[in-house]
Amino acid sequence: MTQTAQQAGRPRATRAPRRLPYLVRQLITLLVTLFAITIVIFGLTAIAGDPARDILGQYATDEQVAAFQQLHHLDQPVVVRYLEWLGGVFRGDLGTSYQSNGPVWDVISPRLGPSIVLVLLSWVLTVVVSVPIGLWSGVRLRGRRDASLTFVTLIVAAFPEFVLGLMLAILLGVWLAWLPVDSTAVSYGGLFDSPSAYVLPAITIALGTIPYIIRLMRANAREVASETYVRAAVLRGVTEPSLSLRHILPNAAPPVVTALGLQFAGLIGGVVVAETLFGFPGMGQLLAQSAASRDAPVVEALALMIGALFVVANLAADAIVVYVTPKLRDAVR
Amino acid sequence: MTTTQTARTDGDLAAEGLSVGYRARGGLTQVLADVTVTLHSGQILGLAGESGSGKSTLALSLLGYRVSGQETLAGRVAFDGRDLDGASIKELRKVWGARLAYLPQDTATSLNPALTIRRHFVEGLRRHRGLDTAAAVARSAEWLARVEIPEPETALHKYPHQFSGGQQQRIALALALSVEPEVLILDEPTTGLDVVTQAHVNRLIVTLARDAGIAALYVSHNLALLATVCDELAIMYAGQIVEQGIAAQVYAAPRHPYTAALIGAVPTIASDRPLHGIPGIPRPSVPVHTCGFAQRCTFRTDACETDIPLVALADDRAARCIRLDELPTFDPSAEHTTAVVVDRATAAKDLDAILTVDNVGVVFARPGSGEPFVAVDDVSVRVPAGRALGIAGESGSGKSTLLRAIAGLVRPSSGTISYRGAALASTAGERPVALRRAIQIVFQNPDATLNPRHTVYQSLERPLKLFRPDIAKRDRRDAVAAMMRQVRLAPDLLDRYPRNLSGGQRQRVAIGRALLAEPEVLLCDEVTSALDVSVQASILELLVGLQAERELTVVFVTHDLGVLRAVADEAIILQNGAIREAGPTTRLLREPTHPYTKELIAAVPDPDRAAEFLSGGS
Repeated sequence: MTQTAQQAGRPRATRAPRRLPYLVRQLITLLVTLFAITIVIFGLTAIAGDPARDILGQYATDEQVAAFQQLHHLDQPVVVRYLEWLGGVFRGDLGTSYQSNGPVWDVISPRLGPSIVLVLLSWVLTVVVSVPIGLWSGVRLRGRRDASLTFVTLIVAAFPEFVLGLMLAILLGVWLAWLPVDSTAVSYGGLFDSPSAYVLPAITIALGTIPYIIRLMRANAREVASETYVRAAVLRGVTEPSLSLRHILPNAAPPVVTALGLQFAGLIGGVVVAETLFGFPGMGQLLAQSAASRDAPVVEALALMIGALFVVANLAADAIVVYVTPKLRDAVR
Repeated sequence: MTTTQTARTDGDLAAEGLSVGYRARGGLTQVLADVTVTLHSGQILGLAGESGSGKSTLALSLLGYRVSGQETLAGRVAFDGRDLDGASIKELRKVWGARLAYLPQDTATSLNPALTIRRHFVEGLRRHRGLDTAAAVARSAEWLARVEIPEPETALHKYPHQFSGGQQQRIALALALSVEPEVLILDEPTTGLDVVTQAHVNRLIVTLARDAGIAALYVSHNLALLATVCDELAIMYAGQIVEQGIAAQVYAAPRHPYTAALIGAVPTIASDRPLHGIPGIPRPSVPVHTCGFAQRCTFRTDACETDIPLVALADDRAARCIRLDELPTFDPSAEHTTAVVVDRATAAKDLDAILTVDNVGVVFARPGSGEPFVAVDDVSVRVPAGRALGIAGESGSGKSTLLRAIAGLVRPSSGTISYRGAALASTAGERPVALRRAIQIVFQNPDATLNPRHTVYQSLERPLKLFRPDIAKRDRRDAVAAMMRQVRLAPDLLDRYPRNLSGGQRQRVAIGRALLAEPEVLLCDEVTSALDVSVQASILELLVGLQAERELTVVFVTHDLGVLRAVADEAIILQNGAIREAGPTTRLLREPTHPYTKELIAAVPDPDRAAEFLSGGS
């Protein structure tokens, strides 16, 4: 209908500026966000003040403090330090740790692998547990059983992760003695040499997001299940599991995918708690330790990495939502 | 159609003495009472009624589909001699889509937005007809071609939103018919579509259903449409069938007062018959020991306070009225004396143009693509003071955009709009208060224009605060109450919130709010298209009356030519933003000269020209 409105011979009005392809636009957003993150991170550590005294101890002489400041360029203005740091980041040099006096990368790198595995594991656990339960309860469960499930998710969500972690450790680690309570073993040997050490932290982290995702999935599935096109499908004789998986899930999934992207922040918070709790030698534990010991370069590097991960996860979630929603797919072109 | 019929041929679907209720919060509301209908192969039964009459419940019950809380209180639904109502979900799933097909109400939501057209088809054809994917795809393409979808092979790989509303509904029709069902249930399948599109889809429905020898039920609130496309007609009110019979006969000579009232409420383009609303609101549940329609019936007597049986009459006709013997057969084409009749030729005293639109164009930039969209294309029109101008056209014709440009809600890209000879600023915000007061607008959907957190009084008081400093604060309540009487709303509604009003009442509030500003010009954007016919008729009656009484100038946008005829002295027909034809409404509709006007008129369902309508126009 709209095409026919374009009649031939009409004077052409100004062309709307041509938009960049969707992925390019997303990439630009990513870079701008990351740049903003660097400013915030560096600004926060700068506001925290000069760490020289804290690190060298109360008996350090003024000369020692001055030497420390000179070594780490703390005597320079903030802007210069920021630009130096940013330049270093671009060159792959994350700076020098105040504590080890070695490159920050050397402090972080052995902990990167285990943490990534841990995050992915809790991630997969969250998806595998919450999406089916949420979908099933949204489509099938009604009345008292539905209320019970909602109640259980609420209870789990109400417990902080360290309490959940402790309860799990007592139940699975102490009483049943199925799993190690301490995950230090991960730091020895290869990445996958002690798989059981990953389980408790992963469950603890996942339990922090599972209730939320279940409830969101349930609410969306229920809404979609009441759409007329689902009733139309039922009246065409479509049966389970096709009804839930093909007709309901694709329409109910987009908000959940977005939430899974956003929940990355919650997941990372959980990583810090769970790693500290179980002595898991990962980035979360390092972050907590470095913050306590005022090792600013390490904190900055970790915060940047986590920020980048978070932004990438969100943009990926956006892209997936666009990809699975035919209407949006056409709109972004 | 009679209640005594028991012998059925294969594929017949029947409700026999069906009574249905909903149980919620401990209470039971009965919505269907003693409904007996039979669908015969090769025939279409029309089911008419207002919202809440139980027609959709009947449609779904005939499929054996029950919503949660629904209970069968008496009677049964029989298909092929089997009882569908008591069938297990497993049995039902074998017949659903395979032998019983359903085409739902909302055009945009009958197809799943996340699935390609191909998936929709292949699913059913594999399941119900045992075809392999290749055969199913071939069959789907065939069916898409039969419902006149261009390039069927390519269309299969598209998603629903990539088609227009009419195309989507044709695809849904093809989807229902592709499995070769014996019964087709259509629930308002063309409501919400443009007239021309509606006519196209209806032609296909009738042709394809007859070709396939399908027994069909066609549910609609549009009696004229049903009388045009159906063989038989059943009229439903408050969960009961109040009249049934051969479609053309029921429409030409109704026996039940409700049928007559409903026909009287349908705007037509053919006659000068004034519209009549049906006073009161429909009964929400099944009547007990009374006639369901009694409260709204002009022929009510004390005898009506009893259970009324459905009485079989000659010619397969049946009606549920206690006074059948006393009342005459109604003649819907006869003039009634009670209605407001405005002599359109002499009503206008002042023929000076109050509103002049000169070469107005509205162009929207389309994000993404380079081509701008021309919504209104060089339109010029004069509106004489005290008269009603109708703007008609299909969706996308630019009729609403033109109205919004007059209201100052859309900035015209070119041309000028003048009020009493002086050019108006292009947006309402730039116009002085006096001009904003003088030009008021009422929108299609009162739900969206009445603040849900304001009471009726608060909504009505607002124009007084804004535009009427002459009315003292303490006199506002009186002014509002006077307006309530004018728009025929009970004064006790003043403290209610919009959600506690019916759709018709909400629209009356919206109209009252506009009128309280004491406008010279009232702009109406499809103000009745979301309402039931009976409510639409009373709103139109109100508008026509107020217009005459207050010598208001009205600009009325509508897609319904019958409505156009009922309200407008002069009319313009828009297509693709440009005027195709203009002139006095009656002449325009009687002697159209432009092919597009002719096409629009041919698309209006008219029971007297059913054959013409179904064969595709003049």
